[in-house]
Amino acid sequence: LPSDARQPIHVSADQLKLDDSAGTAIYTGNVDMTQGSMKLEAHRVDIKRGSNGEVSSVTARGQGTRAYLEQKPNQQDAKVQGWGDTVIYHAASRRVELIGNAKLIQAPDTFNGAYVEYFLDKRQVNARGSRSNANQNQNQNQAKDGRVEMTLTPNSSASNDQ
Amino acid sequence: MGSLLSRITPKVWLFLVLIVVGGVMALIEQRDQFTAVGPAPTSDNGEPDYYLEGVTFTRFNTEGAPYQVLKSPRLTHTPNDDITRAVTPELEWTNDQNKTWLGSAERGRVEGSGSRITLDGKARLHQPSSDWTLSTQTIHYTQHDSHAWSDDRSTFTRGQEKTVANRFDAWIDKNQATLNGNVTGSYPPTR
Repeated sequence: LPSDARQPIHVSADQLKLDDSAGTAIYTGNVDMTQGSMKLEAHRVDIKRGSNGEVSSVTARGQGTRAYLEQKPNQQDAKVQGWGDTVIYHAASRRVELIGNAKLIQAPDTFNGAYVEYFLDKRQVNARGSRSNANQNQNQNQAKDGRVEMTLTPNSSASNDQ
Repeated sequence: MGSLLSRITPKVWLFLVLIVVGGVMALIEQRDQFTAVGPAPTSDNGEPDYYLEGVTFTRFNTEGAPYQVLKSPRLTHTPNDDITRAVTPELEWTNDQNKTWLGSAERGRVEGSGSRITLDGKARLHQPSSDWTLSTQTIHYTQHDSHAWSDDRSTFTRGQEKTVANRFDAWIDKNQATLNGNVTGSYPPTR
């Protein structure tokens, strides 16, 4: 929702590791993070803070299953859902990067690729295939020939794929 | 009245002066007792061999640099267990990166030469330069590995950021901390 950025961020996990010298805060184990309607689920979440002490970026990584992010653009529309081996949320620019086995459902459309970038406020999607075809086979969910695969469905209904 | 005073002999005057001076001296002598604290405390930890008040207790490393300072309004040492107990202790550690950590609680317990310290009752660990604060019931600390920990539900705060967990560990020499178990945190809005 437009008001998401003005909401506090809540996190729950099994563990939090803080390193003052490195300036890192790393949550691990069943990490669940919410900010308004935005929700992030991952095995590990690294939080980076800006010089003003506020959260500047959140990097989520899956383990076994991909990291997952969802957000409701507004009251009327269906929630946007994104998956990736790594999901990076940039607080200032309200931008999300889905990296590795990336998939984004912005009902009724679906985007698959090596990399998908989504702007939460502008609701703009950029997608890119994998640079080299070498690692194509390893990622079954990867678009078959390493290119971006889009499914633009005029009247499709949103599906919940995990 | 004037004729009465003139008839008092010098000897009597001298005696009166001695009485007055003696009285003043006695008053001064007693003043120390009014401000002195009561007798040594009896405790179930055995008879203390000494107690100190208004103490600043500094430990130095081999290079002569202070690494641990303990301040307390009252320290009591009991010989049979070689434990020093402190009232409202305030501890200050300075690590190799010259960063300071502060510890405080309602009660403190120092074992041996400060190799192990327990802070009990509203225990708090604070690192001012990063504004880290860890608050809990009891904090343990071992000197050899600069390790502070608590097995009680603990709260970490930094600015408006707040995280709660079942327990915590902190390493004063490395400026690191880990919170474990049922970790829930909140950060202020980003805008």
